[in-house]
Amino acid sequence: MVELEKVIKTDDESLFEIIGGSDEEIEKLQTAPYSYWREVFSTLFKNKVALICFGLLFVILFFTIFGPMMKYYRPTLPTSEMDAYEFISKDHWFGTTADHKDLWSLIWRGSQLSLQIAVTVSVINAILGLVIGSLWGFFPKIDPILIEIRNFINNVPGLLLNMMFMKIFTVNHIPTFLSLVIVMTIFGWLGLASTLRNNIIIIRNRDFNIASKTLGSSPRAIITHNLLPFLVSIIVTILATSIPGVIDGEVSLAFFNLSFSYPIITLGNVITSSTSGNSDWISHPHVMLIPSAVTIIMTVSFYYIGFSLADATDPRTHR
Amino acid sequence: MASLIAVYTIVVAIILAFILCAYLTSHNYIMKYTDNWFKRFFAHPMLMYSIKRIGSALISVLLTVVVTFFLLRIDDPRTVYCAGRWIKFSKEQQEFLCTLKLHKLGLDQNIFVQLLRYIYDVLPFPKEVCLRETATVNGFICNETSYTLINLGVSTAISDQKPIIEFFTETMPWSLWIGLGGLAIELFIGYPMGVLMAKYKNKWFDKLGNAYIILVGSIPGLVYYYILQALLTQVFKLPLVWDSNSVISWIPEMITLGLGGIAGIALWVRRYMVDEFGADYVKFARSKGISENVILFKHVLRNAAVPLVRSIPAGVLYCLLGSYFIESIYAVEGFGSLLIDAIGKNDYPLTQAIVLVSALISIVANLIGDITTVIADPRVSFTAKN
Repeated sequence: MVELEKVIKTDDESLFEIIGGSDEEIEKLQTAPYSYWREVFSTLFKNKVALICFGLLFVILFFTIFGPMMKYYRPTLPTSEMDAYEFISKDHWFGTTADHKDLWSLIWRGSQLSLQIAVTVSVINAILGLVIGSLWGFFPKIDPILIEIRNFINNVPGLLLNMMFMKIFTVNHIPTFLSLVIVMTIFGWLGLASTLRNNIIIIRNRDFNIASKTLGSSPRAIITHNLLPFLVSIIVTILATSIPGVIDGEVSLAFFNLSFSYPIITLGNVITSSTSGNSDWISHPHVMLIPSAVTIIMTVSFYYIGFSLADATDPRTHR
Repeated sequence: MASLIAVYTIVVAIILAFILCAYLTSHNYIMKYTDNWFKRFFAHPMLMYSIKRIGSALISVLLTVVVTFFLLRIDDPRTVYCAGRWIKFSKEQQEFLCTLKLHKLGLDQNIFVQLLRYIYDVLPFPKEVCLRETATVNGFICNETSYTLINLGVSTAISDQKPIIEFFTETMPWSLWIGLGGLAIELFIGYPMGVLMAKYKNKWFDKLGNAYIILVGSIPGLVYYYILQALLTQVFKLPLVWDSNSVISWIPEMITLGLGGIAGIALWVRRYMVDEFGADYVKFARSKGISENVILFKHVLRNAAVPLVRSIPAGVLYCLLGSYFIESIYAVEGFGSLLIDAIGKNDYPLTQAIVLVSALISIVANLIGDITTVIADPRVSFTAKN
């Protein structure tokens, strides 16, 4: 400490050296220009578990697209063609089910359709949730209607609504894909919308919003420029967890025979038919475990990536 | 009958007087300058708040009932109520009986008249109700009538003419026992787990717990239930199917229910505790040199118990409603599987009654949660802002 003071006090010019300067050097920025999304992805790709999840998702997607091309047995083949409960073998890479069907073909065909449903439903829910949620938070006048809808959804058993809607759709001969999407989106936006509304109410009257309101910004500009960027972390979390949510929802609907019926295959279909009453899955667990494992890998990867994205997009962790 | 009506009138009068007292005292119309127990009780902001909450909740229930009423009337009642009944009668008699049955249930009327009739049945006031009836060629004969407050009607499909109240009293206890077991597992494992995760934040226990939370959150519920069923029945040799007589066969359901709930409670407690650990009073306690354990047990844990106190009564009430998946996987004769049965077999009066009861339970649960929060947490009060 004392030595340091001595050095400072001496004011010795020989300690310093003029290295000269150039106008070009001054113009250059020392740090790269800050980009929010680049920062997000660099944080995300530093997370090793998230990278593993990306890898697993890639594998699943690869087999979803190319799996049926590698080896495929039509699910409509007569039962005499294959044995039931065959374990993993050269002919049947994932074994066969109780109904004499090849699991490999079933799983990848099923995951094709399940992923299509999941992506469609998530996109629709995201758009509806974002629009309705931001309007709901910003304009308190529509509060009573939407709160009443939310109460209704909380009060009524969800299963009842799903069953009633599916019944109406089957009576009117609406295609199953469309009716599944409608059933899962008709109130599916409510979660995102009400979370968004609660958070917008919290930040609605912050100074920066009042400032732009007094400067005459339109509500649209305030919502899209002030409010939504502030909540991007919450939005991203909900969006990323909505895909596994929809896969889960499809499995649940299949359990109550509300999803696609044979011979059209989804993951929920495969899992519920492999565990149905007449199947002896307890003594041949691979019939249930393999489709479950594929589903679990898929949903867990999506979920974990969602959570790491939420961490990465959180504005508080930036800079 | 007369005694029932008298008691009913007295009870309604007491309730109305209670509300009136609360309104008048809290708005200072009466007893403006007094400060006795009467004034303190009735002018308590919590009381008026609860009354308002119950009022708005009843509107929600009414809406729920009306919407489900219309949803359920979409199918043609003739196919729902008459197909495959009264086989021993001739065709014309079947037609006649069907018309009669629909007339008896009020289904041949205008749908709005039916709605009003249903609301009349459900509104709690004394009315005459036919308990048992028999079908004859000449029509239905009422064997037994009585006075009740709420007429939920009788089942039309699952087991004919059985009063719906009996379904509830038969199924709800099983759902409640299993739910309570699950709740106990949730609380006794989930709460300490959340506390430990917050205490050892970013250590291996926290990471392990987070992995568990992510797993439970992301695995489709059904897949998780099946894997647990396979594990519990094959490895731990627990019974595969529920049986009302053997308590051991209730354990798999409780464990399945509880293990899922642990994740939710742990996540909640951890988040709350982490927030509390960053609060000023904890910093101050640390700066005074109080040991971490004392801070944890004496300060933070007490604050973290508030949301728990809020969730327990609601959790117990929600136990009554059961779980669809667990009850149908293990063949439990509980409330959740009753709903599946009722919808599957088009038993509309039963479905409607189930919707009504679950709506009422969720409202009561929320209200009790709010009230217990006020009792447990002195920071929360309902004093008017102005």
